[in-house]
Formats: sequence, structure tokens, C-alpha cells
Amino acid sequence: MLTILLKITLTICLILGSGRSVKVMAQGGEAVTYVQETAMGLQKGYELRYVTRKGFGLGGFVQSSNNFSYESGKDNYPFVGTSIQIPISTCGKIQFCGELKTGLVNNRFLIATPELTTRYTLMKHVKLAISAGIRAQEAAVSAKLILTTL
Amino acid sequence: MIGMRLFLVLLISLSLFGCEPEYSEPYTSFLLPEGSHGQSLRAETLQSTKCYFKAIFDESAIYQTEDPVNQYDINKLMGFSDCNSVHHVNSARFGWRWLDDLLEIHAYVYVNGERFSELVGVVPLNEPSSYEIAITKETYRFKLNELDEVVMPRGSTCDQGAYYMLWPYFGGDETAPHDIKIKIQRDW
Repeated sequence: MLTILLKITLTICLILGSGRSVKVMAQGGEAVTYVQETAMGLQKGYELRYVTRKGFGLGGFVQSSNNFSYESGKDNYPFVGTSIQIPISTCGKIQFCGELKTGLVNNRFLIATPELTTRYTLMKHVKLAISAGIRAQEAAVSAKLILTTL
Repeated sequence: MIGMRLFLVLLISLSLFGCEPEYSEPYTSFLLPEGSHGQSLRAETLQSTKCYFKAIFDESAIYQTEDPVNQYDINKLMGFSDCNSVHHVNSARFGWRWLDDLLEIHAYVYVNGERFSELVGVVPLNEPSSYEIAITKETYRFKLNELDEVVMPRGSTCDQGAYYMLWPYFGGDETAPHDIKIKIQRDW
């Protein structure tokens, strides 16, 4: 009888525990790699981001046209800075969020670019995303691969 | 509720894509309406130590001011404010004016609140001309087409910060005597 009670108690604890762990796991890190078509041409970028359990994110990113360098002159436009992610809506595996990137281009010029991102959960730790934003008064469209610990 | 939010998100997404200019028309048209100095509300910042663009003036750039003295005023074409400064303190722009049946292009700068200008050259109507402003540590270098560079002093002492773009503006003292159209294509 005691064994059965222990088993039931352990099972209940495991269920409740697993429920809690999901909530705790809802905050974590994301590694993002992306390509973005901008007014300056195609840029590649990387981003690391911390995401809260409510979906708000804060991260740092780098992106540039060619190999990352401040010496490449006219065609490179390296962009380094921080990004803020704000969740807008979730619908099943699809999540919409806004993002604001601010930072320095060519290690000198302060800019801010807003983006609207649609994320799709492909599998537990992998998401795909597309986003539309504005950079230099022109559309900036990107495709992203997101690896997440969530 | 979720449906409404999704609809709004899709609407915003579509409006963002709608910001992309037409592929067939790389130039952006700027209108300086009659009786106005200009109407551009574009918020943009410089992203490189060189500001390149092409511009086309048409016959609407031919004008006569009410006061003949104001014919010597320099209108503004395009440029930028310098590092974290407002443009009446530190800035560099190309300026233009219609004088003696020629469209003159000027280098037009503010250095610590003091204004300087110098003729760079003249351009034909209805043909694209290339413009370039390069920032160096202590100067701005203005280049128009294949003409010799004009070097102007620079006052700003900071490097990292916001350099907001400045767009076409008529005046001077007077407003545009008629609608003036200028086409500009940014180059990266």
C-alpha cells in the first residue's frame, strides 16, 4: 500500500515538476543566423538573445555584407548593436513579434531599424523566421534560422 | 480577438512591403511645392563616411525670386548633419541656385554655427549628375561629376553618433515661386 502511495505521489510530483520545468524553460537563450536583403545589398548576420518567459527578448547582433570588417569601405556596412524583441501574437506554432535593432554602422553611424518578424516552430529547438523591416528608408527583408534552448 | 490581431499584423506586414520603391524607377521624386520651403518628412541617418547620390533637375528648377537679391540665396539639395549636431551648427550639404541662366551647385556647410559656401560647378537640366560628400577628420570633400573636389572645413569633434540626413529645401528667405521637382537616387 505504502509503495503504491509513494508511486502515486512520485508520479504527481513528476507531472507537477515537469509542468514547472516547462515554465522555467520558457526563458532562455536563442542563437540566430540570418540573411537580410537591404538597400546596401545582401547582408549576413548573427545574433544571441535572451528571451523571457513572456517572449520579450534582448540580444546583441552583428551583420555585414562581406566578411566582417571595418576596412572594406563602401560596400560592407557592418552593423553591430543590440536588439529588443517584443511579442505581438501567437497562433499555434506561429509567433509574430516586433523587433528594434539599434547600433553602429561602420563603427560610427548610429541607426535604428524596426522589423516585424513571423516565427515558425519547426521542431523543439529549431525555429524558422522571416521578417520585414525598414533600413535607410527602404524595405529590408530577412530569413532567419533560430536555435533555441526554450 | 486573436483573429483581429492577426489581421492587424498581416496588414502592417503588407504595408512594410509596400514601402519598397518601384524597381523600374530608382529615383525618388522630391517636390518643393509653390509657397513652401519643402515638405520632406523622411527620417534617415547617414551610414558611411561618404554620401553618394545622383540627382536630376528639370525645367522647374528655373525660377525668379520676388526680390532680385534673393536670387543669390542658396537652396539645399541634400546632405547630412554632423555627429550629434543639429544642422545649423555642424552640417554639410550640396546647395543649388538658378543664376545667370545656369544651375549652380554649391558646397554648403555649417561649422560650429558659422556658414560657409563655395561654388562646385554647374549642371545641365534633365540629365543625371553624380554628387559625393566625403567626411575626413577635419574637412568635407565635395565632388560633382568629374569636376575638381572642393574641400570645406569641418567643425564637429565627435565621431560616433547620429548623422541625420537633410533633404531638398527651397530658400533662403523666399519660398518656392512654383512647384519644383528634383529626382534623387541614393547610391550605396
